Amino acid sequence: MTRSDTLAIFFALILLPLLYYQLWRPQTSATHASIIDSHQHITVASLEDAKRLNIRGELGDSVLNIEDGKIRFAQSPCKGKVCIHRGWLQYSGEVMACLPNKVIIKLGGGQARFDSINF
Amino acid sequence: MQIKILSDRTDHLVAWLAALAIMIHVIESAIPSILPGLKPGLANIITIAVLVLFGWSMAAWVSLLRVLVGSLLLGTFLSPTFLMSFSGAIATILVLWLASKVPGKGFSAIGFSLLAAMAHMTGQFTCAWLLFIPHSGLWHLYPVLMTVAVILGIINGIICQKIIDKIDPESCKKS
Repeated sequence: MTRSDTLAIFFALILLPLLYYQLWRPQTSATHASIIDSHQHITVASLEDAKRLNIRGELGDSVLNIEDGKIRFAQSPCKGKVCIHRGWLQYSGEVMACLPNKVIIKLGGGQARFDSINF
Repeated sequence: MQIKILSDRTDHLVAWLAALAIMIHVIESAIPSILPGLKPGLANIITIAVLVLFGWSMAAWVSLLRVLVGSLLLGTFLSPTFLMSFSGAIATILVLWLASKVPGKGFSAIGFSLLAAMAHMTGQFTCAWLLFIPHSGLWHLYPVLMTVAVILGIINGIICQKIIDKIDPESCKKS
């Protein structure tokens, strides 16, 4: 083994933790939520203060709950309650929606991890 | 009019060594893989040995012939597998060219093999990302595969060094 080999191995071993750090870094927390109601009207709400929001939807009002930088659907007039079971969202770039009630929530702020997500 | 194709000793050597690498490539493809894009890369041992014993241009020939003929034999020519393998080989050749220019004692087989493994993984990953899965989520796999590449690169390098130690350097001189 030559000195260049040792250097190459050394740098490779330094590179690996850096790669893990760079690519597996925890997601950035969101600072605000953009809420789109059934009339395409966008409400921007800060996630800093705890509050309840009533968002007008196709079927009735969706009640959103904001707490500790997180947001969730607390009450919904829809049938399946899928939106409520989605639980809390807190990371930038995350999206949830109540399709029957036509309410969409998108979190923003910091550096978003994804531009879009396909399922 | 007759066309004569002349082949010299170098051409014969390239053919023999490429055949050896292709053999390993084909046998290796029978080994099941836990993750896509993950193989021991044993065929690269030949590339590195050729680089150390005969120089860069022969290593490039052997490496590219191995990918081309290997894919023809396995039936993956021009398929995604081939394209990833090919871009990996191109990246490897470029990095080995730079590495072989290092002044002084330079790298031994272990350093070459390590750099080659990392370049191959990066090359095929970039290809996969650009052509097949253009989603940033793909890069979460990169550190894991890179870790394996580093480990296998060093192991292959040690194997390669053992092989080179057994070869008489006089027999590799260009006639």
